[in-house]
Amino acid sequence: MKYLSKLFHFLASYGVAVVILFFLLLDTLFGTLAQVEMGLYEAQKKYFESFFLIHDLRLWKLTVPLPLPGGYLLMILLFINLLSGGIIRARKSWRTPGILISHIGILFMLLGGGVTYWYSTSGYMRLYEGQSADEFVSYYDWELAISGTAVGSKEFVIPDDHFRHAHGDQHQDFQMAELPFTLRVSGFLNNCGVASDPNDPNAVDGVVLEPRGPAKEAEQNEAGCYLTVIDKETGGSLRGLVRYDIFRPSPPWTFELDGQEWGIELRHKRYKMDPSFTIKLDKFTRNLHPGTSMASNFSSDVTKIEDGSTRQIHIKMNEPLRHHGYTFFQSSWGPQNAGPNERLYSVFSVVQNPADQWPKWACYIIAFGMTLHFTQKLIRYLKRERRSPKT
Amino acid sequence: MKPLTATLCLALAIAASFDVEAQLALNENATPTWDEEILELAAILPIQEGGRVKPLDTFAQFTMLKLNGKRFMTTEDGKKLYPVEWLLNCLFYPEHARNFKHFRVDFDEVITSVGLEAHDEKRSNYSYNELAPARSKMFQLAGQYSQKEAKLREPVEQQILNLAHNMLQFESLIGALDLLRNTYHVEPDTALAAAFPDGDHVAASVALKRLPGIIESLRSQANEMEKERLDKEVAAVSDLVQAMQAQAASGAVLTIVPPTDASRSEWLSPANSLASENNFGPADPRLISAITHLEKMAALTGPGDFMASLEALHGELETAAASRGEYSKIPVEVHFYKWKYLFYSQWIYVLSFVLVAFTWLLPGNRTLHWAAFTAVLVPTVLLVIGITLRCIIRSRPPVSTLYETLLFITAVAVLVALILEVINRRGVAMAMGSFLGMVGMFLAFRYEAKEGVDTMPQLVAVLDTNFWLATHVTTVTMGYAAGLLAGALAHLYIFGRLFRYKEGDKSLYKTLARMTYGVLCFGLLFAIVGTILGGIWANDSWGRFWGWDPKENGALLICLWGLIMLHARMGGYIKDLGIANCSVVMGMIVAFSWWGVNLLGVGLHSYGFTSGIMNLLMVFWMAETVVVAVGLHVGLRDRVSRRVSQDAQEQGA
Repeated sequence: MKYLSKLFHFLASYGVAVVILFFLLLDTLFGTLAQVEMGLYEAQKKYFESFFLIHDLRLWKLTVPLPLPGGYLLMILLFINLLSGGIIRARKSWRTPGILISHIGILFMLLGGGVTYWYSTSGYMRLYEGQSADEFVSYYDWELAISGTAVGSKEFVIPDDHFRHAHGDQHQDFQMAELPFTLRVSGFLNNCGVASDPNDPNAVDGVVLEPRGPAKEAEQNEAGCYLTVIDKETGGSLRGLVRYDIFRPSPPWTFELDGQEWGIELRHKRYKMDPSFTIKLDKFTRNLHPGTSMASNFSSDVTKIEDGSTRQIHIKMNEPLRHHGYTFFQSSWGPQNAGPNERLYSVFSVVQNPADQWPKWACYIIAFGMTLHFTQKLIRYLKRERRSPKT
Repeated sequence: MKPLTATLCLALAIAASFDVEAQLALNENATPTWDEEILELAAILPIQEGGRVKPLDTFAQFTMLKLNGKRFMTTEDGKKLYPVEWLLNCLFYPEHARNFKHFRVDFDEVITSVGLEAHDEKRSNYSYNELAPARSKMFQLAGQYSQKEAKLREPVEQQILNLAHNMLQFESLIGALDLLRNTYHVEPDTALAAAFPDGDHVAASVALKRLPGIIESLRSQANEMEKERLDKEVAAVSDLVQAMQAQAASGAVLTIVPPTDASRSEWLSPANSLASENNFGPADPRLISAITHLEKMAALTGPGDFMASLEALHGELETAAASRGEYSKIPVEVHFYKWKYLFYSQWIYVLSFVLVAFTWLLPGNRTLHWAAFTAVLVPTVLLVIGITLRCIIRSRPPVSTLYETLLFITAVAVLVALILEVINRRGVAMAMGSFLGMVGMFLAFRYEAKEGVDTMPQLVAVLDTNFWLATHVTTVTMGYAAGLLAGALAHLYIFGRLFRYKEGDKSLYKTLARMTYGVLCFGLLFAIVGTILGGIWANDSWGRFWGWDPKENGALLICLWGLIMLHARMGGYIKDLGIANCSVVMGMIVAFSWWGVNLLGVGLHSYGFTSGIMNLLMVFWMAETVVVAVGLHVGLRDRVSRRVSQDAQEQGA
C-alpha cells in the first residue's frame, strides 16, 4: 500500500507533468520538422502514434540518434498524470476551481483524442454529377476483393491487416469454404512500381514489383503483391500479381479455374454506410473570385436517399453534412483542367467519429475554467499592485 | 525706330524665340505634371483586380511597390512621383515612363547575366529602356528558372524571374491605352468607307459603335453580293478588327468598367470591346462610353479637357459600380491609404521610444512619463483605427492574412503593455510597448514591400468564414502577442539583473516577474482556447480535429511550453529568473509557430506560405539563445555569490 501511495504521488507530481509535457514538446517539434522530408503520414506514425522512437538529431554535419518516448505513450502518461495530479490530488478550494475545471476539460479532450484514434474511420467519396454511392473509400488502407462467375454478385474481401505482414519471405494463405482455391499472398509492398526482370524467381510473366519508399503524401502510395491460387482439389497452382495505380483504374488479376472466371483486385479499403443510405450528387458548383482562377467557394447539391425517402442537402466548405454518425465534408473537385461543359466530380471527405463533437465541449470547459482561474489571479495581482510602492 | 534699335529688337525677338523653342524641347523631356484635382479624382476610380473592386490608387500603389520596392520614385529631372501620378504617366505618357528608373534590382548579377552593364551601385534601379535590349535573354532565362521548384531557385534566378514578370506588367500598363491612342485604316470603296465618311482613318470608339451594324448588314447582304465584292468587304472588316485587336490586347489590365449585365461578376476592360465571345456583336454600352472618355483623355489636348473627360468617366463608373453595390468601400480605402495611419503610427512609435529613453535619463519626471505614455498611446490608437478601417473595407475580422497578423499582434501587445503600465506605472511596460510597436510596424512595412502585393487580397475557399476568422484566428494571434510581450518583458528582467540595475529595488524585479507571468497566463489562455478552436474549425472543414499539421503543431508548442512553465513554477522548479528565461524561449517558440512553420512549405495551411525571411528568423533565434545563456549566467552568478556570502557568514560566526 505504501508503495502504491508513493507511486500515486510520483505519477501525480508536477515533476512528472513537466517531464511529460517537455517530451511531448520535443516530439511535436521534431515531428513537425520531419514532415519536410518524410511527409505528414509517416511523421505522424513515427512521432505521434508510437511508444518509442529514435530521432536523428542533426547537429551541423553530425547526426546523433536520440531515443525518445513516442507521442502515444506520452499521451497515456499525461492522461494518468492529469487524472491523478490535476484532479484527484489537486487542491480543492475556492481559490482554484478554475484549475480543476480546465483539467477536466483537457482530460476530456485527451479522451476524445483516444476515442477518435481507436474508433474513427475516415475516407473519401468521389462522385460525378448524377452518380451515387452508399460506401466510401479509405485514403491509406487496402483490401483484396475476390469475385467470380461461380459466386454471382458476391464479393469476398480480405482487409490489409491480414496480409500486410506478408512480405519478404513471409506469405499468408486464405481459405474460404465457398471458394474452390486457397489464395496465397506474398511480397506485399505498400508502395511499389513494376519492372521487367524475367530472371527474378518471383517474376510473373517477366514482371516484378519494385519496392519504393513511402510516398510523401500517403494517399499517393501504390501497393502491390504477388498472388498464388492453389486448386483445393488438384493442388495445381497459378501465379499472378496485382498493383494499385493512382493514375489509372487498376484491372483485377483474372484467371480461369474449372471453367469458371475469377478476378482478384487490390484496392483501397471500402466502408459501407451502416445503417445503409445513399448519397447522390446532383450538382457541383465552383465559384471563382471574379477575374481570377482562385476558388471563392465550392459546394455540392446532393440527395440523401434512405429507406425510399429522399432529402436535398447543400454541402459546402465549412458546412458539412452530418448523418448517422457520418460526416461528409466538401473536400475537393475535379477534373482540375475541365472545360466549360465538361462533367465535374466532387470529392467528399467522409468521417465516422464517435468523438466528433467532444473537442467542442472540451473547449468550452477549458475556456471557462481558465478564464475563471486567471480572472481570480488578475484580481489578486491588481490588489497586490495597489499595495506595492511605486517609484 | 532707328536701324540699330530695330536690329536689336529683331535679335532679341529671335533669341526669345530660341528660348521658347528650348523651353518646349525641355518640356518634352521633362516629366509631365498633373493637376492635384486630376490626381485626386483618378485615385478614386474603381478597378477590379485580384478578384475584388478597389480604388485605382491601391492598384497604383501595389504595382509601383512591386516594381520599385517603394511607393515613390524620383525621375531623372528630380521630380518625385507618387503612385497615382506614376500610373497616369505610364498610361498616358508611355514614352516618358520607359525612362523611369523603377525596376529595382538587388544583385548586379541579374543585369550582367543578361548581357547588360550594371550600374555602379550594388542595389540600383533601372529603366525599361535600359533593360529592353536584353528583353529576349531575360525572358529566356526566366522561362528556364520557372521550371525549377521555387525553393530550389537561387536568389539571382528568382530575381530574374521577378524582373521579367515586372517588365511584362509594365508593358501591359504602357500599352493599356494603345487601342484608343491609335486610329485605324478604313479601306476605301467599301461599306466600311461609307460607314466612316470622315476620313481614311477611324478612332476606336467610333469603330466600336458602328462595326456591329456593319457586320450585321454584311451578313444579311452576303447572299446577294458578288463573291469578289463580298471577299473585299470581309477582308476590309477583318483587317480593321485585327488591327484593333492587336492594340486592344494590353488593355486587359484596366478592368474598370462594371458590366451592364448585373449577373456577370467580371468587370470589363478595353480588351473586352473586341471579344469574339459575343461574335463581334455590340460591345457593352458602358464600355464603349468609357472608351470614348479614355480616348479623349489619351488625346492629351490639355488639363481642362482631360479633367472634363475624367469627371465624366468617373461619374459613369461610380454610378455603375454603386448600382451593383461595389463602390461604397472605395472612398474608405482611399481615405485609409491617404491618411497613412500605419505610416504615422510607425514613426510616432520611434518618437515614443526616444521619449521613453528620456524617462530613463530623468526618472521621477511625471510630465515626461505621461508625455512618453501619450506618445505610445497615440500610434496605438492610429494602428487600431487602421485595423478597424481594414475590417470595414474587407468586411472581415481583423486577421485573415500573414500581413494582418503583424498589425494585430503589434496592436494587442502594445495595448496589453499600456494596460500594465496603467496598473503599475513603473515605465517598463510602456518602454516594451513602444519597442514592440516600433519593431512590429517596421516588420509590417518590410513585409509589405517584400511581397509587393495587395495586402487586402481575396481569401481561398476554406478561409471564407468570418465566424472562425473572428474566433480561432483572433484568439490564437492574441496568444502570440502575449507570448511575445512576455518574452520582451523577460529581457528587461534578465538584463536588469545582469547589470545589477537598481539591485536593491526588490519590488521592481518582483513587479517585472509578476507582469511577465501575468502576460504569460493571459497568453496561455488565448493560445489554448485559440488552438482548440482551430481544431474545431478543422473538424468542420477538413473532417479531423487534429492532423499534426505544422501550423497546428506550432500552436501546440506554444501551449505546451506555457503549461511546462506554469507547472514548473507550481512545482517550485523555477522562480522569477526561471520564468524570465523560459519567457524568452516562449518568444522563440512564438516566432517558430508564427513564421517558422510557414517556411517548411508543407501542410494544409498553404495559404500562409512565405519565403525570404529565414535569415531574419535565424538572427532572432541566435540572439535570443544568447539572452537565455545570459539568464543562465545570471542565475549561476547569483548562486555562487550567495554561497560565498553564506561561507563568509559561517566563517564570521
